[in-house]
Formats: sequence, C-alpha cells, structure tokens
Amino acid sequence: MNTHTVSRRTVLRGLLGGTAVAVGLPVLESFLNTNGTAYAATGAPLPPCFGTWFWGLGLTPHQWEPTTTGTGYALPEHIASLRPVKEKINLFSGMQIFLDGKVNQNHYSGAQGQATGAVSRNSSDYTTSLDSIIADQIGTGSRFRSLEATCDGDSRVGWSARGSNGLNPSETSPLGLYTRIFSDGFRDPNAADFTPDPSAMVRHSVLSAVAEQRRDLMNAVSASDRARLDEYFSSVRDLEQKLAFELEPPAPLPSCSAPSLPTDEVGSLVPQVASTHQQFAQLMAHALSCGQTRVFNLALGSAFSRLRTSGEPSGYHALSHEEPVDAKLGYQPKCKWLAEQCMGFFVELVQTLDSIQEGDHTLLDRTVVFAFTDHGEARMHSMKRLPVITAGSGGGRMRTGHHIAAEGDTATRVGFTVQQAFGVASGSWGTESNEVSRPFSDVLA
Amino acid sequence: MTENGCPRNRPWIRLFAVLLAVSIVIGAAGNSGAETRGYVISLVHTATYSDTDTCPLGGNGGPVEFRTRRLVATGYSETAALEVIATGGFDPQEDQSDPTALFGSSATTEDGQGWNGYPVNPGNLPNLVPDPGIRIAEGRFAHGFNLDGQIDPDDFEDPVSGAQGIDNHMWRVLGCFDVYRIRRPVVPYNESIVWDTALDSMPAWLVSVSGDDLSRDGKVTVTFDRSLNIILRDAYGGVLSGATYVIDPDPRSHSVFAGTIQDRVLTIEPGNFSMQGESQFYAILRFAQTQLRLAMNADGSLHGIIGGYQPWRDYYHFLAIRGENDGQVDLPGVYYGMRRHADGIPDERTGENTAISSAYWLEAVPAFHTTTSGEVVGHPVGSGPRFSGTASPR
Amino acid sequence: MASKVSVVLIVTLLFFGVFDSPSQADEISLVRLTPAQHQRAIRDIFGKSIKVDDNLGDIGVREDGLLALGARKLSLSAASLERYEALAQQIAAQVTDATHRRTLIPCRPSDNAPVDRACATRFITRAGRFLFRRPLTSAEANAYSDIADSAAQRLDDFYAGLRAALAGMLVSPEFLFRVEVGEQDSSRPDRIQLDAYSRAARLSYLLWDSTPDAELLSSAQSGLLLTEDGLHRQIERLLGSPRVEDGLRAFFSDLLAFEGFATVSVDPSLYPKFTKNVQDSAREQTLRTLVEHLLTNDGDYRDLFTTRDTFLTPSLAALYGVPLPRAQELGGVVPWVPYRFPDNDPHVGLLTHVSFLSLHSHPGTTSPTLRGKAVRENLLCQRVPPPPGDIDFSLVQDTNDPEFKTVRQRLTRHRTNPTCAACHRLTDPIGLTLEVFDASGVYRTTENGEPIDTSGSLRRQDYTDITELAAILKEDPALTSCLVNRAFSYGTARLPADADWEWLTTTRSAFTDTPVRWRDLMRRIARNPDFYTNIAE
Repeated sequence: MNTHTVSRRTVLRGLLGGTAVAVGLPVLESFLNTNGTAYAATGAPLPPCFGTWFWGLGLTPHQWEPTTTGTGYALPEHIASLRPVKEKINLFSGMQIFLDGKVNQNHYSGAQGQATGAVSRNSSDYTTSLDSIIADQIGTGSRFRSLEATCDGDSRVGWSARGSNGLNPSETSPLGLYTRIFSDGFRDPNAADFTPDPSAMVRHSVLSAVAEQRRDLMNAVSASDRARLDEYFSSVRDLEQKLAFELEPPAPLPSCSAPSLPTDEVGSLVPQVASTHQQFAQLMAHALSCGQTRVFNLALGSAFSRLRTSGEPSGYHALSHEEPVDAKLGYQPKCKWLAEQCMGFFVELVQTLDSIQEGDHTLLDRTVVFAFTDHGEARMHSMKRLPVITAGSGGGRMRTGHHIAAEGDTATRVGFTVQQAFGVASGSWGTESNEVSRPFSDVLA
Repeated sequence: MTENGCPRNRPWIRLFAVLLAVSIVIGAAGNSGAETRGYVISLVHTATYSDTDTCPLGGNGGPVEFRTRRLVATGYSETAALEVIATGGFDPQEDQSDPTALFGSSATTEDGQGWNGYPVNPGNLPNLVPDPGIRIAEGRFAHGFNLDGQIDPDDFEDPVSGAQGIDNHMWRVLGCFDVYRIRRPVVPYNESIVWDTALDSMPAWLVSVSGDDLSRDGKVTVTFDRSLNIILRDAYGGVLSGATYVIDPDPRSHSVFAGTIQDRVLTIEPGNFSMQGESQFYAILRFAQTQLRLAMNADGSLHGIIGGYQPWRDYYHFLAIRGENDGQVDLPGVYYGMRRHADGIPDERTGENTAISSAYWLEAVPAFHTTTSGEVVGHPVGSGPRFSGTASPR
Repeated sequence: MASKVSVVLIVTLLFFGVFDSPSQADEISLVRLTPAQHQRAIRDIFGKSIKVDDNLGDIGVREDGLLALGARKLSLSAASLERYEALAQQIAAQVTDATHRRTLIPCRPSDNAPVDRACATRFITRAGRFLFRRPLTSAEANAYSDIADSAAQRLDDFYAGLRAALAGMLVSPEFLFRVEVGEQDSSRPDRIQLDAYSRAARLSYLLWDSTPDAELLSSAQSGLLLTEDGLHRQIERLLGSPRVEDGLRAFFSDLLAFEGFATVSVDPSLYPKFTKNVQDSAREQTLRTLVEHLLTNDGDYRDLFTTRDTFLTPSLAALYGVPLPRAQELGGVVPWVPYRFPDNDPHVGLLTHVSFLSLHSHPGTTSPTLRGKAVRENLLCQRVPPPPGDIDFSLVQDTNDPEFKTVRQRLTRHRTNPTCAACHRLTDPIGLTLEVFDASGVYRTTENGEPIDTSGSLRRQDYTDITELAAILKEDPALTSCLVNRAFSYGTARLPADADWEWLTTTRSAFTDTPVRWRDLMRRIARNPDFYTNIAE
C-alpha cells in the first residue's frame, strides 16, 4: 500500500503557548501492514519499548501472593484491581534481595538491588540501572534516550542511572515534561512536510565541536574522574542524538498523537498523586507511540512514600511503622488501603498503554513494563518476599499471564529475564548473591 | 404609634443623647483592667434566620423574578420579559434596551442609562419609580435585640438566646428575597463576596475585651477600633490567629462599651457604635443603642450577633452601589420597604425615622493589638479556630 | 542537509590537530557546579538582567554530610545536560539580543557582514576567560571562533554566530565543572598542588560561592596569587566585600540541608498557621539571622544556639506567638523586622527556628528522632547508624493508645530495648526536649492534655528545658570542630586527609578561648596552603 495515496493534510495545527503543535489524526490501517506490526512502507517492525514503574512500601504481606502458579491463577482480593490486565501481566513472588552482610539501607537497598543488580555500602555508589542497559540495546534511535518522572514532586526520586554516578533526575511537573517532549523540537511523525530547523542544525554541530574539543581532557584526569567525564560525553552524545533526530524527517507512526496540555497539581495527597500519575502515564504513552523515546521510568514517589489522605497526620511511610497490626485482621488496614491505591495506579498505567491501538495490537503489546518496590514488608524493612510485576510482551518477546513463585530466588532474576527478552548479550547480571545467570524461561518466548 | 407602626420618637432622642454622652465618657477613659484580650474581626454579615414561617405568602424571589414582574407591569408578556432579562436588558424584538427597568449591575450611569431621557439610575434615586410592594418577613424567629425595651406582637424571638421582643425591621424588609432566605453557616452571597475581597485590602476591624480576670464572669470593657494594618490570611484562606495589629488612633472608628461576661457569653450596655470600612459594602457600619451577644469560645474566638438602630440609608447605599445583579434585591422595593419599616431615630424636622433595627453576625479571632508606638495593649488568648472568615462553620 | 552537518564536523575536527593539551604531568579533577552556582556565574559575568530559569532539578547527592562533597562524585546525566543546553540557548539569546549586545559585546561587526572573525574572537576570549575561569588557549579561541563564523554564515547573522559560540561554551565541561588543574607535589607525593587559576576558583567559591572576578583572575594570571602576600590581599578583599554574604548563605544552606525545603511537607490543613508565606520565609529567617550574627555583628558561631535575636515577618510572628507591630506593607512585599525574643520566651537559638523544626518533622506529627539525628549529624558531625533490617515496629506503641499520650511515652521502647537504645539514646533525648514545638514550630506545653516533659541529658549533663539544653550544646567542643571540619571539606570539596587533620585539630584548639568568628575561620582556611591541594589517587 502506498502511503502517499492517502491525504496527509489531515493534520490539525493548534497553538499551545505560542508553539505550533501538530496533532496527527489516526490514519491507521493505511500505514500499517495487515496485523499492525510493521510500517507498510518500510516493512520494519514497530520498535519494542521498555519502562520501569516504582512504588514505595510494597504490598501487605501474606495478602497478595496467589496460591497457585502458572497461568490461570486466581488473584487474591488485595490485588483484585489487577484483574482487567491480568492476562497481560506476569506476577513474581517469593524473591528477595541479598545484603551479603552489608547494612540494610532502609527503603533503598531493596530497590537498588532490583534496579542495578547490586547492593552497595554507600548510596553514592549507584551503578548502571536496568533501564539503561536496555536503553543501550533498543533506545539508540530515538530523540530521548529515556524519560524519567516522579509523581510526588521530588526530583531526586528515581532509580535510573548510567555509569558510576549520575542518578537521572526525574521530572516532577507534567507540564514540564509535556513542554520538553511536545513543544520545542517535536516533529510530528505524521506531518505532511518536514523542514529541518537550521538553528537545530547549528546546535547539533556546536555540540559535536564541544565534545571533540576536550577529548584530551580525558587523558589528564584521574581514573575516577575519567569515568565521570565519560559519563558527561555520553550525555553530550545523547543530546546530539536528540538534535539529530529533530533534523531528520521522522518515520510515520500512525498511532502518534500529542496528548492534551496537562495541568499541574503536584503534591503528596492521594488525589494529587492520582492526577499527576494519570498525566504522566498519558505523556509517557504518547511519547512512546510518537517515537520520542523507547524507554521510560516512572516512579509513583519516593520509597519513603508520603502518600497521604487529607487530614491524616501521618504519611504512608510513617503509617507503615506506626499503624498497629489489627489483631483480628492480621494486617495494618490503612496501609493495606494505600497499597491498593498504588496497585490501582499501576493498572492505570498499563491500561493507558493498552489503550493506544496499533493495528491489531496495542502499544502495551510491544512494551515491557517492570514494576518493583523497596520492601516485601515495609513495617519491618524486610527485603524478603518482594512483589515484582511485569506488564506487556515487548512485541512477542515475553509471554504474559503467569504467576511465578520463585521461593528464595534473588529478585534480580526478573530484571535479567527482561534483559534476555530484549536480546542483551550477557550471560549474567548482578553481583554477589544477587548474581543470576538463569532467566525465567516460562515467560520468555 | 406613628403611621409606620413604630413607637413615638421623642423618648428615643433623649435616650440617644444620654447614651451618647455616656459613651463619650467611657471612650475617654479607654481600656482598663488587669487583662486585655485582643481580637480581629474575621466575619461580619447581616444576620439571617430563614424558617418555614418566614414568608407565608411566598418570597420575593431573585433578580429574574422581580425583573419579570417589573417588565410585565410595563406591558411585556412573561415570555418576552424573560427574553429581555436573558439578554441583559436588550429587547430583541424592539431592538432597544430598557435599562431603567433592569437597573443594570451598578448604580453608575457611564452608559448614560436613562430615565425619561435623563442620565440617572433609579437605583440611586429609587423614589422616581413607584413602590412595587415587596413581601416582608414574618414568623416567630429572627436574630437581634430588644432595642425599644418593649415586647410588641410583631416583635421576634431570638432563636439562640430565646429572648423576646426582638426588634429587627431590617430583617422584615430583606428576609423574603432569595439571597437572604438562608441561615448560618451560609452567608448572603453579595456580602460574602465583598467581605472576602475587602479583607485583603481593607484595614482590619478590631475588638478588645478588658477586665480583671476574663476567664471568669464579671464586668468588662469592650472596645472597637480600626487598625492601620490589613488582615493576614492563614493557610486555609481564613483569618490568621495570633497576628499583630496596630490600632488606628482615629476616633471615628473608636467605640467603647461597658460589658458583662456571664457563662462565657459577652453582652454590653447599649451605646453608640461606629466603624469605618474601605469596601463597598462596609463603607461605614454604625448603630445607636448597640447591643451585642458574643460567645467566648474555648479556642479563643468570639462569635455571635451585634445590632442596633442603623441609619437605613447606610444599608440602602451599600445595596445600591452593588446593584441588583450582585445584591440580588429589588432596589426600589427595598428602599420603600426600609422607609416604611424604619423604627428609630426620627428626623428632627420631618419626624420620619432615619434608622432601622438590625442585627449582624460577627466573628473574631485572637490577635495582638499594639499602639502606634509599638506598646502591646491586647493579647491573643487561645490558638484560634481552625476555620474562620466566610468558611466558618458556626 | 546531513552532508552539511558532516562538513561542519570535519572542518572543526581538522582544526583540532594543533592545540595545547594539558601536559601529562597535570592532574585534573572535576567538581560539578550547583544550580545556584550556575545562576550566580551568569549573573556575575553577564549581569543581573539576564534571566536564568531556576529549578534545574539536579540538586546533587549528599555525601558525608555535604552536597559539596557529592559534587566531586557526580557527572551530568543526559537529562541534566539537556536542561543546561536549553538554558545555554536562553542565556546566549539574551546576551546577544539588541539591548544587551550594546553593553556585553565589545565590538560591532564591520561592514554589517555576518562573519567578522576579529570581533567574534574578541567577545569569545573575553567571555571565555570568565566562563572557564582561566584564559582560553589559542586553540580553544579558534575553535569557538570557527563555530561563530560557520553559524553566522549558515544563519546569515553575526549575532547568531556569537550565540552559537557562547552556547557551546556554556555547555562545555570547562564551564559546568570546576576543572581543578594541579601538579603532583614532589616533596609530598600524596598531594597535588593546584595551579593559580584553580586556586582562584577555590577561593572565590569558598567566600563568594561564585566564579572569580576580574581582579582575582588577574592576580592568578600574574602569579601574585601564588605569593603569600598576594593571596592574603585577595582574601581580605573578598572577605571585605558584601558578596561574602552569598558564600555564607551557600555554606549554611548546605550544612543545614536546606535543599529539603523543596519538599517540606507540613500539612497546612493540620497547622493553619503554617502558611505558604511561612514556608518560604522560614529558611530566609534562619539565613538572615546567620548573616546578621556572623557577618554584620561578627559574632561567635556558638552563640547562635542561645541567641534570642532574629528577624520575623508578620506571619512568622503569628506562628511564633509574639507581637510584631508593622507599618502596613503594600504590593506583596514581605517585610522583615528585627526581633528579639523576651528573656522568658522558649525560643532560644537556631534549634527553635521554624526552619529546623519543620524540616525535620513529618507532615502531621513531630519526630524527635529526626530532629535529634539532624543535630547529631549536621551540627555535631556525629554519625547515627541506620536502623537494622527486619525490625518489628509494632513494639513502638499504638499512637491511639490512651496509656501513652505523649511521644516520649510512645518512644519508651527506643530507650528500654537495648537494640534500639544504642542509637536512639543519641537522638531521642534532644528531640524529645524539642517536643514543645509541634511539626510547624508552634510552641505548646501539653500533648493530648498531658504536660510535655522537656528534661534530658547531653554529655552527661542534665537539663530541664530547651534553654538549658542550648547552653550545654553551645559548650560542646564538637560544635566547633564540626563547623571547622565541614567548612574545610566544603571549600575543598573533598574529605580532609592526614596533614589536614592535624591542621584541623590545631585550628579548633585555637578556638577554645577565641570566639568562633566566621571571617576568622574563613581567613584561617583560605590562608592554609593545604587548602589549595587535592589528594593524589
């Protein structure tokens, strides 16, 4: 099918804050092949995407683990909100992160282990994270290497990093992220015409010159600083990549449409986090479908979660330690409710990805989302029995609908499985007792 | 009884003069006593008490209703009248507007709103149009005070104190308009907006109570003043408790009363009250024969009613400035009603009553008072209420 | 157009055949600029009228008690660099716009041609000297001039060329990092002696938290800064300037962890007096108090913990429960009024400031442990170990239990259980005395109707209330040594090593009988030759 036979003037142009943003109308079938998996013109498959989703303080222990494994397991009441997406997710239970004698840095070590494969003595020794490894594999053709955001207003929250230092800061404002993606430099993949912006070309060439200029600096710095400079130059390369992307006419992506302009109402109250999360979920989904990035990292908030209901003196984290365990129920009722809110937000993200139709499939179908948390039992700072969830199949790279009970295994095994799914050429991942070399083959295609 | 149904004037002039003299004497003395508690007034509005028996013949409605009546009286059908109202006074059939019938949104005449070809607004000169005859409020209850010392058959009963012989003729005039057919904690719409807006630019109103030991029953002195400072807001948008206000030495807003605390309720001996404001609605608030009844709450705040004989033209002026769109009352109707039901302070020459018995809801939160030289003369006691101002739930 | 891009690339690459590279003997280390330092550099170099968006988001990581130490460990992530590049475009656009070019660009292009290499080079070398904190090498100057020329040609606008070159300098690692260049000390192989420019930068950032000004750069260039006399003169000049206030504010904001204000979460629905004005003003109150006490009055640091002098706004005064008569301010101006708390008032010193109390609280309750921990770690440099894993917190009593009305009672377990007590005896007693101030800083004497017990002991001295605690704290030698050590670490952006420790010990002994004055401390540090060294790896 010839894409050019279809009229491409079906583009709305609106002015948002003085910037022209083009919104492509869904002209689906003519651009895709018959099952919606490839561009008709080029035959290239739609690229796979990856995302992480972090929530703090885990789930209520003993309330969420299904009793059976494999497919067709029953969802316990505590995570019943996952029912609408159950067939598209995998649930992992029974795993832990090993400390190997190091200090348990509360609300940190567990997440660090799952995100990087390693637990360190100091929080300043945070190494390359899972999403960075996968971004190296699949993210080198997009405008942004990855996008990070958090829903609680604290830009220091996040688990994505590259290199030996440099935790990627997270966007806290949906409007800010919108502006970053869809205002400056956004090139609508479905636009009828494309003219490269000459000032973008200048910016691109300036960056190249800057990068080349001080290569010699690398020879003179000390070893540790060399790594940092390398990190800096990687960032320069990413920025060059971004500008280069803006200089090329983008491949058409029929499911791409810019989202509506978000409103900022950032805070730690449940309704505020709900609103912020919904907007970030939309933005990430649209960014993926418009080819602006292939990797995203979304955190519900800090592991010291400040999620709160209005008028309640204590935030979620304080409650997790102060709320008494109800003698009859056997759990902390307010904390259980808050954990269920968190699961509700995860479902919202999954459904948002699933709502973007791409032929016979959805955006979720070519994405894998890795959802993880800091503790298996927040009250006791325990890193045993961690809940881990993956959503989506990454374009057929993973099977979904499974519950896997991996008693005693290290939780890094899930991250390793995901890396294998994306074709990362590595025989193992992780350090010390968190090192793994066997993926979960049940969920690999 | 005079023709407008109120007692003879003469005794009131004398009483007024005596009270005036007394208040001047007390005023000169100023605050005395071992303890002075300072407050800043966080809410003032007409005290309403709408009940099932308030308007037995039905109410006066709101702007749509009384404007419809007005236009119908000039010959429009009801449907056509509603059309004119919907377009804001522009009659699509006749291709002309009839602002005199609708009185617009303010009393200004910049568009040359005409009457008989003259650029006047009957909101400002309501006696240019005939009395439309509004319905007045009746019923058993109304907030207020027994100002004339008598219990007449048409007097009310105060719903909080149970006192009989309540004189509140302003309530009679206003009580059957939709905007006033409410009760606490609802605030009349027009007054609520103006008060809330005015607070941020109007010098604050202060009240202080001084006596030997204000935690017990006893005699006290109650003083009202204006401040040189504007009110501070709290995190809720209410009025911040514990803030500091410098007292404006201007005597025009200085009123002093002898008072009593009994069972944590504050009352005063009748006297004159005068307070200047800077807002459209409260350009000036003044009463003769002022009485008040305020509860002294555990959190340190005060709430209750204040009232007396208020020059009715003061109140009518407030309404006329706001206009019928915001005030939501039939301006000529209220004018004639107030004239008819005014019950105090007869004019020496014409004998017509210049004042009308009225009552206002008043709330205050704790505050520091200082003189212009920085000396602290009033202290806040109590942390203040959580919700204050127009959000007060009392 | 891809070919055009690559042509530019090739051309620029070719130029890099010859240029000065740092000699192999040079040791180089990088310290990342903070967002505030970035803004201030632009302000100081190009003037206040250049608007720079703040909130770059990447505050950095706290290491051993200071963000400054984390700055030597961090690089720039892609997202941060993206932000800086966008800012660079913004700044460059303003500097070259019609208004600013008259004052900031020292020449006009001749013939109105888009390319004027001489003028471009003049601007680049001038700006570059300040941006890179040293003169540009000829190769660098050429490289940036090349950028200017080619961009000017492509966009047919001389100023667009300057814009491109300036934007390039603003994202260069030479600007975004403080590049500390030095040589290994032959007599002490573990030390690297910084060169003159690096010394100038270190001195300027310590005292002014900003990039070296023209005079300081000149003294580095001429070598005067390397002489004792030259160095001392510059120290006195910087200390005597009003800009020393910037340096003091930056240091104490780091020491007291004020970056936490971005996410402070005292719930205003539970504390109506904690208005937005208070939230913004609390930090400023403490900083103003510090400036007044340490700079204007040249006071003793230790007295900050017992002083009753401070500055208040009307909203802060309402929260502190004190009267503050004011002239009526108009136009949203927040007035600061000097205030002294009366002698019997419980507000004594920095620990009773709203900034400290609210920063280390939960949204709806106080936290004696967090407050005590902040005193130990930020002010006394005493490390409090993290809690062990798998602790059963149900041992900490139910907050609704009528038996335990006050936090002190609820935290009994912290003191009686030996596993908990080991660490909690460090933090809780201090925090429990501060319980008379709720999470928003408001003073109270009871909790749930029960009187609050403010007694405790510190360093084996018993006290009954906050005033007595403050007096004991003030005499703690750890207070001084922590300040001295942190100030040294802050200025060098590294931990002290070997010889440094001896110097620090000597310095803090010197303060036993001398008031700990800020300028005095800064002078001692800046005069210490080892302040201008790094440690070899």
